[in-house]
Amino acid sequence: MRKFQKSLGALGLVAALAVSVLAAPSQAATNNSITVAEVTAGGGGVQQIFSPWINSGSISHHAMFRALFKAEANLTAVKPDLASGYKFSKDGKTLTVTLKSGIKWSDGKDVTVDDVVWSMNSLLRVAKSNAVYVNAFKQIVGSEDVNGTNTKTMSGITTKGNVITISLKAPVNTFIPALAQFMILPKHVLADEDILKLDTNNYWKNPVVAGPYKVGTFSQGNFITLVPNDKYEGDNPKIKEINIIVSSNLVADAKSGKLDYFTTNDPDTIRAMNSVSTFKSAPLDVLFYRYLVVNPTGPFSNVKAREALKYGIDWNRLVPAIYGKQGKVIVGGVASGMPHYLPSIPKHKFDKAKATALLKEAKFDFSKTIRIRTYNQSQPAVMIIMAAVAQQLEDLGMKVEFLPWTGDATTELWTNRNYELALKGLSAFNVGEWYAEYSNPATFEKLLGAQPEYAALNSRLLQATTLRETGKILTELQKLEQQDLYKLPMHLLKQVVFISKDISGTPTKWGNPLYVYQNNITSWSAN
Amino acid sequence: MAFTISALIFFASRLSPIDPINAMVPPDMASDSANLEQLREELGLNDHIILQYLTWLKNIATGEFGYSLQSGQKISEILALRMPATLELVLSALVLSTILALTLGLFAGAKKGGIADKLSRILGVVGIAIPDFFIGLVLLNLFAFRVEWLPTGNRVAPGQVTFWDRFPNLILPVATLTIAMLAVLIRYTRNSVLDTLNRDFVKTARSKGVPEWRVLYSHVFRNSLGPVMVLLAFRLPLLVGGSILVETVFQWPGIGTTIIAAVTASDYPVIMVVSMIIAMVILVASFLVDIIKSILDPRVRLGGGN
Repeated sequence: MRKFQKSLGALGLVAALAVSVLAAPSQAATNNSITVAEVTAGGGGVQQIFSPWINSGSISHHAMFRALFKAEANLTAVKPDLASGYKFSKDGKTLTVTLKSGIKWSDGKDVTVDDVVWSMNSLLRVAKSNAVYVNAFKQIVGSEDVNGTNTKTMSGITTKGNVITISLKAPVNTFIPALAQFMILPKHVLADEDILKLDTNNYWKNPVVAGPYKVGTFSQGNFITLVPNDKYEGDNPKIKEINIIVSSNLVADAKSGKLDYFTTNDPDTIRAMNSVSTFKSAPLDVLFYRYLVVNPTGPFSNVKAREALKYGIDWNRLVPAIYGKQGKVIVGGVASGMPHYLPSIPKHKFDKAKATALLKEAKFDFSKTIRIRTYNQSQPAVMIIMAAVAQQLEDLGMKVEFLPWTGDATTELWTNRNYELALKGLSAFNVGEWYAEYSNPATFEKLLGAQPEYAALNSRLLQATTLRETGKILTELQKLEQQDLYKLPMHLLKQVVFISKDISGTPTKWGNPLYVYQNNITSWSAN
Repeated sequence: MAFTISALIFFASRLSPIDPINAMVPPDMASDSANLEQLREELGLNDHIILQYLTWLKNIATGEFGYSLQSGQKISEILALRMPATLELVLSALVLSTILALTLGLFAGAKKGGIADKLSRILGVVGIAIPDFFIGLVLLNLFAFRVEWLPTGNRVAPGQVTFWDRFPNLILPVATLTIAMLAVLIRYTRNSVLDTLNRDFVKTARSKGVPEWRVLYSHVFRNSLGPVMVLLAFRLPLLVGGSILVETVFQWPGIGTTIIAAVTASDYPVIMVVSMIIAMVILVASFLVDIIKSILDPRVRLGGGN
């Protein structure tokens, strides 16, 4: 028996030694390779590259895909990319774009105007796409004829040689910035595929691309390695391998050298990264809104009751307590410090007496249970702030029930509508997206009914060609928003880029990491 | 039984308040309502629910599992890709825990109060009292975050080509699952050994002067295996279902994480197929248990005859 016990001890020792020998921590940034963490489509580890027609901005999009133009860090100014230039007609309704020649896809085929026209038409055929493109492309003449059930193309897009002419129904001031985010895909690869379900096509596992990188290794569930695209006409990228992983513990992976780059808005991760000396960070002001959708059909039918929420909850203490400097309290879609902000809008100010008075004025029914619902229940910060909101409403004398959604948030918010207050988030490309929500027939109009005033102003905002006109419309929208208070804005959330100090050549000014812009990826190098 | 289970799985998934189309395409990402309607049609969601069930049943029977709503990939492909990861993890843990449990259980029963007995009791209590995900988190904290000997997760990292390259990734999840599996098995083995030691044939063998190691191996160990084998057979479903929590803690790309991702995204075709397969394996495992029982104990007969 004693012999056996000794054997067991020896076995344990051998196992421990084997572990320590075999398991040296991995080093991510080497001379030619970096590792980035990003969200990929499909769930459960790395499945496939996210379609850039849904969300762009990840490093894989920067590295592989190209648009007609390349946005600057501010996302509004653009430089040529696949196109050599563009020109608008005097009335702003005709856009002429000239495509560069000699650009190749990674399979050696030429990038042609057919790819551009096919991509723009296909965007209107897919089931799932980003509203930025849909809103812009629906302004093209003939767009109403194109959908997933037919094979028609927009009559407003014509080509001659390398020149593409796009006719718009009315001027669209966001059209060029939207085109700078819209990645052109290869018609010769995708034309025969099921475009309706393009976002789940196998293409995304090894896409044919025109950018400086292409997929080298695809290890499903584990990682994707991008390698230089030898057909890319620009400078050779300095980094020879970009490994894309999904990380469930960004801080640990950054500390152990498994990771070189990631972006996040999670306050716990951001706080914990303060102790990782091998990384530098760039906090970025982005239009990531968090707000409460107020159901106006129940106890909050009176606008005074909705107004009470501005004063009955101590937003100026809650938001900094939970998000620190990362969160910025807002009172409307246009935050203070942004162009066209209306300073006359009353700021959130905790005043329980005023809130109580407003509720009394609204004849608020305190016998009804206020159902607060939330998404993102896996994020502790979200649950804490919403629990605090619930507590403060109880302090006002309300009966409150706070729960995460049981079904999908979309159905619950817009179809079932069994709530009084619901948390929602919006990552917007521009401030117009915030106001466009009010007149969206698939979402807010289901809750509020038709919103012709917002619809008219949103349409004018899209067509405004001068700053003055834009400012005037945004002022009207801000006033209208305060008059209705259907959305109770809580805060904006900064996105933070974290990058290893071993990487150089990165942009001096980072842009919104949720979108694509000139981030000099070919100049990045790992020391 | 299989039909009942299939009906339960199918109709339960339809009782869910989740609209698969909304789960796939949130309204603010819908390019056009006509496109969504077309998608609903293509996925057969407009058919009568009984027709949907019969179609699904026919497809399952012919091995056509359909497509994941989330990734668009064939479910059979997903299973083929994920199953090896789960088998690698669960099989390693099953083999390791069986060897350890049988060895420790045998010696613990043979010498009550000895070191092996104490060790097995500690492991038994730890394994039963502490959930496997917590054991995983503790091991992760110790070996990955503090001493940084082992990776934090994933099955294959960039640059890992051979099995030995990625062997370190396997250690923590296998250790976690092994501890969790070990507990019950040790107690079963120990109790079974204790029970066998008191049997007459063991006393006879000892009185005949048979060496103790031979008594333990040939008489006690073999005769103690019955209940242990039954327990092992009941663990077979783990081979296809994986361990959801352990796979999640260690980002192991197996069936367990597939289930979690599918549930999170309301990917009901994947949920239904995986549930159905697990249910079938459980049925097979219970049948196996009956066979094993009949082999090990002649008093138990298959077929219900006298």
